[in-house]
Amino acid sequence: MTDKEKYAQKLMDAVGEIDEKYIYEAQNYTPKKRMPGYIAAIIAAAASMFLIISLSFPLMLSLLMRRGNNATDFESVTPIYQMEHSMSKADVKTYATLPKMTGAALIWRTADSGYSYVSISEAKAERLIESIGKGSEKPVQDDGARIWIKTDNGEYVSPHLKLTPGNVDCAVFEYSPEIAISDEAAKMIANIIEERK
Amino acid sequence: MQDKQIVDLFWARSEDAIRQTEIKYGNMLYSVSFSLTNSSRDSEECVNDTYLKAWNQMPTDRPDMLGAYLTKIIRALSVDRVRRETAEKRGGAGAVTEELSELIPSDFTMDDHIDNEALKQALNGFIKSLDTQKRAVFIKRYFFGLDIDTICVQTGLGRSAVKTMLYRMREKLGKTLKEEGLL
Repeated sequence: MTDKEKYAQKLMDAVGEIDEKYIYEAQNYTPKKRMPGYIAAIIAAAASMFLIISLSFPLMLSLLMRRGNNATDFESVTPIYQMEHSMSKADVKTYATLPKMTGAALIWRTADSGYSYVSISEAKAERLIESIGKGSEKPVQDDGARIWIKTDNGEYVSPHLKLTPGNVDCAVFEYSPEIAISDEAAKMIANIIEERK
Repeated sequence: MQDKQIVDLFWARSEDAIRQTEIKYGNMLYSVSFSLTNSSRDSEECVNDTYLKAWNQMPTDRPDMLGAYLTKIIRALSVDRVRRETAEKRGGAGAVTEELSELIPSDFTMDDHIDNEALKQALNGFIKSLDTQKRAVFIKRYFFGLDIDTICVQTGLGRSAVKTMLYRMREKLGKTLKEEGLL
């Protein structure tokens, strides 16, 4: 008998000495039942549906709410959360020179690209946003002026924007002049700016 | 009858212990032996020898898992019996031993002082490191000497999956034994 065979026998004997709990476990081993294919398919389909609905629900809800607030077919108010994202580099620099804003505010950019703001009450900001949403559909001339209303919760709202794929992503400077600001809103803005002076 | 009650009968030296063991484990012990010996006559004799050995070892031993305890006895008896047979009559335990020897290098030189206890411990450590399914496959093949097809039926695995699993486990075992200085 070769050394290899002798060692194999020793190994075989050692296997015979393994812990009884493993022998018992192997004797009573039952394979896990596999889930039938059609049940797995149903579960996968249900999970996919749930995922689609849960992901699209906030967007659908926000669209429905916006539509409900507007008199025209156009989305005239687009909220943005980071104004700087919608600006050119030069504008970001200018905008950064403004003192830090707290609470609601009305921000505007003049034709010479200068930024200004005035703090307003949250109620006024809400009223302004509502009135801006009722703009007419008359074409207006773009003179370069821009207006934003900052709400208390840090949301920025700009008139003159309609819901286009570009604007949804806060592209404020893809300015749509199709919706003019309402007379009511224009008056309110004029008053706010006047009061500031 | 519960294992504990049967063990109590052995301890009480009651001959009913053998009868109850035969009722509960007779068929299982026979099939374990048959997988290793490939012989009805040898298997029957091994089963009877197992009862005798269990009778002699109890009351010293008080096994918690009587089935596993008896299985270890019958396996050792069956492997011994196969070793005593001629080389031509290789089957069951012979084939399994040969398969296990694949993890040993052909130029292997046996050290006379190989510690059997260390080998046993290394093997137990290796078996513990396997997941339940792999452990079941390994033990069914190398402890019970079951053929691949029977393992497939008992584990729900395919033939090639079982063969691959065994091959990888042999390789892993060889590596473990080398690391432990036992190969």
